[in-house]
Amino acid sequence: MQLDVTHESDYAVISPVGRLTATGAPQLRATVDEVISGGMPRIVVDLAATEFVDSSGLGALIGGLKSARLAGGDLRIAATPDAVRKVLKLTNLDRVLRDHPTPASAFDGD
Amino acid sequence: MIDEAGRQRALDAMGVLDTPPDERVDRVTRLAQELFHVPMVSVTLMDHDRQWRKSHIGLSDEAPREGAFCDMTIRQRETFVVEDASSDALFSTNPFVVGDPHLRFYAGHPLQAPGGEQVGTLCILDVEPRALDDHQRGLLRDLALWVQGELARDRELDEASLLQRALLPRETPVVEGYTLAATAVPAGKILGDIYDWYRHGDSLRVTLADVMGKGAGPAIIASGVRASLRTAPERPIAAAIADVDRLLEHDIGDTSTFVTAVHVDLDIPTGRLSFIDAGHSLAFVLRADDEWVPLRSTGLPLGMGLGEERVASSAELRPGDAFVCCSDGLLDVLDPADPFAHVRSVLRDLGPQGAVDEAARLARGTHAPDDVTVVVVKRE
Repeated sequence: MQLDVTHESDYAVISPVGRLTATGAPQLRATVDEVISGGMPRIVVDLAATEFVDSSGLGALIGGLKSARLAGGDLRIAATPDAVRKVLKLTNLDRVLRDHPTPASAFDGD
Repeated sequence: MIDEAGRQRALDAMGVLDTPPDERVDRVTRLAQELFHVPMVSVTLMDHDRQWRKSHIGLSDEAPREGAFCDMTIRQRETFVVEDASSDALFSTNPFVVGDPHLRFYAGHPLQAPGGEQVGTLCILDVEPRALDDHQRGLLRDLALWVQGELARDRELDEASLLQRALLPRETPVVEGYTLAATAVPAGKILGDIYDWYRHGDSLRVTLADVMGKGAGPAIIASGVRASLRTAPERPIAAAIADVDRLLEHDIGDTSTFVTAVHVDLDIPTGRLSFIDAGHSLAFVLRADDEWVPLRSTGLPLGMGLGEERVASSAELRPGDAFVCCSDGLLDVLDPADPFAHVRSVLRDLGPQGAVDEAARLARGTHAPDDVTVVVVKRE
């Protein structure tokens, strides 16, 4: 898995490319923590180029969400594949890990 | 001199002698053959007067210990190499050199038990003389340390697995008017799911929890969840779940794991079910008329630390109904076209015990990728 990070004026976008599984999950966590300690706790994880997310990947998203909220920000997801959205819904995690159509719309209005 | 008795005890304690082949060890043996281009490779353990081979290529399962090259190897800490046995003062008349398999080249690195006792070797052999440079010696040592780790890990996992079995309910509670059955089959050696059930006065408490991931880490968390929920049965289920939620948040809050769970209190005389679903979503009532009623709520998984308030919901278990709860691993072994129909027909045809036995059979038979746990409580 490859991770691309881009910085916008008031949020950062992290894009996992490929499969987000036990192999890539620690890398995502580390990247989220880096972005937060760099002073940007508002993060969008853009899943448009993510082929697959397993439970470890989901765990990394949740871990990142907790870190972001602790730092006074939030972690949101964009362009979530249907299979991932289904898992989020089953676990009720869609209540806290909100999906947005695009990274640009994730922090729209707040 | 080596302490032969202590060495033998350490080897016996590893519990690896006469066990079936293990793919994790065989993998290293194959790799050694590829790397060194030798016809024979062995993971040899020195058991009393025999050499027993946990993994081997080009050799047999056993050979006598007397005269064995490996017996020299375990007497030292370093890699032992004989480049051409036919011209070696010590080995030129050795039965393995003069006779079958006519060895010329031997290189072995000792394998140690967790306490440091030298119990065996990883060795490579050839019928032609060869030399081994420093780089290759380093490689052989690395492979030996790898095998050593796998042999020790195996033992640790077996112990953990036994201990964990002991934490699953040993007996099925006797509940008048109900039939109970449950099973739990780990994907590997250790289960990341847990179920529990016990009577408390007129009620039956049932728990099923699934820790994200597989293996030893989740298993440790799962046993903590069980212990926490079992403590103080007089607590209402919402309080019990709130307590375990806080505990998990404290213990695993800074990791990326979480736990989904269903915690149920069944009032035995009336069949009234109080339940809390923490992001699990795999608890149902199968009505006597074949209708599936999902016991859904919107609770988050446990250990999220997001200040979730836990509220119990309720449902009725009427005569002929069955409460069915499983981990998501069950979905991997059900008929994907219609999993609900599959469960319904198995339950109807085989009854609760037959149905969970069938789930266990499917889980073992298909080498299910995830742990499979199922609990059924049927009201007669």
